[in-house]
Amino acid sequence: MKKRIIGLIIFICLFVLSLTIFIHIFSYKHADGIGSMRNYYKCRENSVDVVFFGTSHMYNGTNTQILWDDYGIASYNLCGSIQPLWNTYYYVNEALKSQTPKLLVVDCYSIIQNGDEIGPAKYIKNTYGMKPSVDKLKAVLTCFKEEKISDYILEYPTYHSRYSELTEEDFRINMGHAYFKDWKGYTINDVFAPQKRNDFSDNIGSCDLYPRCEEYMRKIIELAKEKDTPLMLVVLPYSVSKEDMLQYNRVSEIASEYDVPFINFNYCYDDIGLDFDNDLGDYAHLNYVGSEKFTKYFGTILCNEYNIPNHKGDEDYKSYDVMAANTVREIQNCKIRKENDVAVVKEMLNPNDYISIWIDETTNPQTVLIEGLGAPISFDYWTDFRLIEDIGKYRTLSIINNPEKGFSLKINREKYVPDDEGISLLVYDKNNEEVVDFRQ
Amino acid sequence: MLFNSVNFMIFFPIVLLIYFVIPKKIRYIWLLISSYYFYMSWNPKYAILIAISTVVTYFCALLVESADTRMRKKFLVILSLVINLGILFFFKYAQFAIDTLNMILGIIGVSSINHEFDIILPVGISFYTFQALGYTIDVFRGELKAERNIFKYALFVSFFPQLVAGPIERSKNLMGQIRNIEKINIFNYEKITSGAVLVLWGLFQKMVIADRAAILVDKVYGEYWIYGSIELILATVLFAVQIYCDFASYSTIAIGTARILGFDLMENFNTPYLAVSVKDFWRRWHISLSTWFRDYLYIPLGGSRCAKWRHYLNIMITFLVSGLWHGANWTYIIWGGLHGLYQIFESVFEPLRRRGNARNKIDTNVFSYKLGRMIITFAAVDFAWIFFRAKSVSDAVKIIQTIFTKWNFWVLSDQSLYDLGLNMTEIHILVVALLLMVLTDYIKYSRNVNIDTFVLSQTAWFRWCAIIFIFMFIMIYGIYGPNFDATAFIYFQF
Repeated sequence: MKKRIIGLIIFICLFVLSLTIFIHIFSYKHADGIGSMRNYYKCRENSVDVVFFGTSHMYNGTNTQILWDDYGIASYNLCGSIQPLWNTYYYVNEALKSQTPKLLVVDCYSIIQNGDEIGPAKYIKNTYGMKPSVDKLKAVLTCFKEEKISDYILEYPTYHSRYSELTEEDFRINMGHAYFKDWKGYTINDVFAPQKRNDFSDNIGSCDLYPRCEEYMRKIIELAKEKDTPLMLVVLPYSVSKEDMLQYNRVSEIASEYDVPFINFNYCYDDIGLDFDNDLGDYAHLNYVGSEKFTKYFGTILCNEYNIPNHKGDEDYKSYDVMAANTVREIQNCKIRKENDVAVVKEMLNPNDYISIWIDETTNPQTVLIEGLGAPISFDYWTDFRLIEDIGKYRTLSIINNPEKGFSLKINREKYVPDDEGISLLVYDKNNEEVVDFRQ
Repeated sequence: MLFNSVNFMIFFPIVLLIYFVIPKKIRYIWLLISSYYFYMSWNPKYAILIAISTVVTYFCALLVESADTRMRKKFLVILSLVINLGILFFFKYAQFAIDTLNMILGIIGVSSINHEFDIILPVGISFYTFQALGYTIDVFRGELKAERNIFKYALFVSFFPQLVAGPIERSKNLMGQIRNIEKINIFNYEKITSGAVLVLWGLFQKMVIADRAAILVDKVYGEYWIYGSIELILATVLFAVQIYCDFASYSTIAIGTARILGFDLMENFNTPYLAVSVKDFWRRWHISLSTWFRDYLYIPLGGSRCAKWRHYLNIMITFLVSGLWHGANWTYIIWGGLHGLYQIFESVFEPLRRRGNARNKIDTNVFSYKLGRMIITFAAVDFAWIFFRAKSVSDAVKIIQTIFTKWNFWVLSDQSLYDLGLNMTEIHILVVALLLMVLTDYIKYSRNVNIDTFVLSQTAWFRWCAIIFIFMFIMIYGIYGPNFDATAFIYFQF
């Protein structure tokens, strides 16, 4: 009997271990809507002062690094793309379980979208990051009203068939990117697309919201009041239409009913200094340049009107320092990719952070310069050269030159072929273990 | 409530837990309530039908037993048959009968009957009707005493593990166990683990193999006119795999769940595709149904102890009825008829084959000889499956015509076979899963041990690894969950 019980225990342990590994590998790991919630749980209890909620609007627009570096505000961007307000309601509820923020900021962009038309399959993932609880069950049930609801509650039926699409990211902690370890939800949008600045000066009156949106907006306000947590409703700046503005006017009316502040930042383009030719990724989302301008403006409001403490220099907030440094680096990577002038790029490349490989085909013989692996290394195409170096846990750089066989540059199996005529440059981010740019 | 549904995964543990803790005397009541709940989860209304069938056969059996003359007994049995088969006919065959009648009327130029039956076939009606009728006949024959406790009898008719897709249990076996339910040693470790392995294996057959093969079969049969011989042969072979795994899996899970509850159900499939003749096939395929027909139709008709022509007629009648039992369509009747003809053919040529073997000194014990017969038998059975799968007789005929005329061998090399609903990865998974199934069937065939006995007789590490392997295989490669298009699900803004 004793032997049988021991056997059963070992079997159960093996079984649970297998299941855990399966869930870890197969589950969806997207930062947006899943990773942001998972990382939120990792935040030290009662350490987050401002929590932002909403859609991609919010997570693209509000930069947690700027708020930290410029104002010492410990904020978190707890958002999910195309998140309807009935999702947001449960996010707010979940956020208040482990934190006592000084302010909740809810983006109202989603009120112009009828979540039922978008289709729950697109935003159900926003519940996947939540820990199992009755609230999570309610959140899923609020999204779905179809027969196969059990599939979405159990989650694995929706992702078990990913076996043919698994990548390295699925097998590694934090998807193999150090960046995600201390990430606070801000997602960099590096698209630049000039947009039209609409005129809505004759914007008068309001129109009805989708009933479900209004219902959950009121629920969110009531929840914040019940939890005695200050709430602010906002609409981030974008290429807004007159029709949208009428709906936001209605939000303003509802907010006044409850005496909750509401700021429609579409009235503040000039104060923010928003440049519609350069600061948006599309009509609805700020890119990292627009986000920086907006966050600086918003940060001032937060500091002036709310008593948000400055935690800069606090040892307990080291995670914010790491997040800020990582974000700065990520934005720097975006700038490297965007910059056309190689001389400017060269200035940006700190050998402590980047490995850069310059291949100059304009000289005779062609020359190669490697920086970021200790002292700079250079050689020309007439030299026998061989360098094999581990540049990350799973990354090996190999540069081999043979005057007869030619030049070869590889990171693992990935081959980078330089341009025959100009200057080619490969930039590798040591921290994130990824190629930032390869230009020919 | 399907066995491979989340609902059943919640239902069964609850049933089991309560079954284990309640007093012995009321166990059958609990199982009866659970069985009715299980059945009503499809459509609550149809519980009335099963209740009617139960009450009619219960009282008929009691009256048959107490009747003093054989004539009276016979009358009561016939009454039970008429009522039960009448219900079955109404729900399953009425529309088919009218359509057939209209076809005949059309041929002779008489105006047709305009009546459409808008009835959904009650799940499992063919199974429980036959089980209940088998019981009445057994009582009539004096092979079994009529059950006095109507609730125990109702449990016999509605026992949820085998209610909707068999095995069609013999009253002597299942009724006997239900009568002595208080004596069943529940929480028997060996039975529970053996049952659990069977359930797991059944889920593997259903979710990994049958449902995956079905994707290709449905695609090809759905538009058979756009394909050539090779695709249709592939789809037909895979249909043989699909129907075996689908059907056998249900029986395996039924046997497994019953065993966890402490009941032993009869074996329903025994490596049918390793049969060396069609006669042998029917000893291995849907055993509970074929033996039911043997005992309650074929033998009463006279069986083989009669004139040859009568023997062949008995075979044909049995198989035509068997075909009709499977579905109300001429395709099923032809399928049954083909199996009848195969058996007559085998019977007629059996002496010739034996003489030929003896004259040519062919060693019939060698592997290659058996393999040859297995292949021929499989080909014959699979040919008949075309009628079983096709939507109509004309479709089946066109499919057969295409198979024999459109030889498009180039599809074997131009990768277009990966474009039949299953891509290369899916085909590889199917092949690996099939190899596993062939291995277990071979073990069963050569050693006569089922997968549960085989796995549980191994060392602990092997057992654990095998069980976890099968479980994870189902978790990962099973066909279940919403048919997710990841691109629709995941919204990438940039």
